[in-house]
Amino acid sequence: MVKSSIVVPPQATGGISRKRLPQDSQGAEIPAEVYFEEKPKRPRLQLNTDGNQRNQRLFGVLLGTLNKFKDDSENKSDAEKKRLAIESKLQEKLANEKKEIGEEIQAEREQKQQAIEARKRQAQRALEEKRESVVLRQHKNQAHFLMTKTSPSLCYLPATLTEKDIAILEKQSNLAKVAQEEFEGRQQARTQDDIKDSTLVQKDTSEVPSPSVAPSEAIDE
Amino acid sequence: MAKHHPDLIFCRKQPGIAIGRLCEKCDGKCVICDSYVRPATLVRICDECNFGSFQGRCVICGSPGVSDAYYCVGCTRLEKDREGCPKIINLGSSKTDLFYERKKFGFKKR
Repeated sequence: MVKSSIVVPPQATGGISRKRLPQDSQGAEIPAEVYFEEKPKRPRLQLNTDGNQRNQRLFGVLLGTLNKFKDDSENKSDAEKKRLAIESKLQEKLANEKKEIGEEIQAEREQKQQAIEARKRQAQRALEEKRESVVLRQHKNQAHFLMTKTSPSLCYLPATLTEKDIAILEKQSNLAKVAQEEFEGRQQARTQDDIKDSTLVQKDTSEVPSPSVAPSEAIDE
Repeated sequence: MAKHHPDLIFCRKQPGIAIGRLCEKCDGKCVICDSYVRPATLVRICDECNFGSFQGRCVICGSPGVSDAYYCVGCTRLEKDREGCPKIINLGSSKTDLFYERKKFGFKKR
């Protein structure tokens, strides 16, 4: 068995710990009976009449000061009331200003967002229009030819056309015309939407603060 | 007193051996901050402020003194007791105004 290197003093293992009693000047413990014995009360200071009067006066002054402070803190003077009223008014004004500024900022942000969305829509419409016009032109050009049924289809035009071929060509050109008309109708709708969006974009660009001094003037200065 | 009346002026000359006194009204106050609690350091005033009829007068208001003046613990800790003679050497606006108002309305001094 391995012995522990920690040596525990015999007193520490005694079990119940006992509070040490105070020691006297020689370092010996004062017996409990003596220590816990009731000590006689400290005798009152024998003051003469002047001392008593002074104590009473001091106590009175102290009470007076405390009461004065209490009154001051409870009953506010007119000036303090006025000051409080002014402060509350200022606070209210400040809060209103803050609210207004917040609303303005929010409105500006919304407007900007709307303008950005309008620009996006405009760009999208322009792209769609371009794509449709390309497709339409392609269909229009292909309408004069016959097509194979293979994929990818091949365009061809025989030197002599049968009645069936002529009918197919007419049908194709009619379809191209109808598609052209539909495209024009869509274009008109797009133009109207464009006008609406461009007003939004113009609004946004017109509200951007212009520099107070023109660049040429600044250079002159 | 000077704490609450900023127009009052301290003497601030080199203190001597004379002990500062306080009147019945100002008794118990710290001469710097008017605190009624924890007096710590005895007040010393300069020889000029203790000369002739000024001897034994209240450091704060100039009335006949009844007890010794003390600095409180806070003022001692802040070394306000080393800033020179703490005797008030002027009247102050409140007392001057009171004097002229009494004169104007003809009130007798109590």
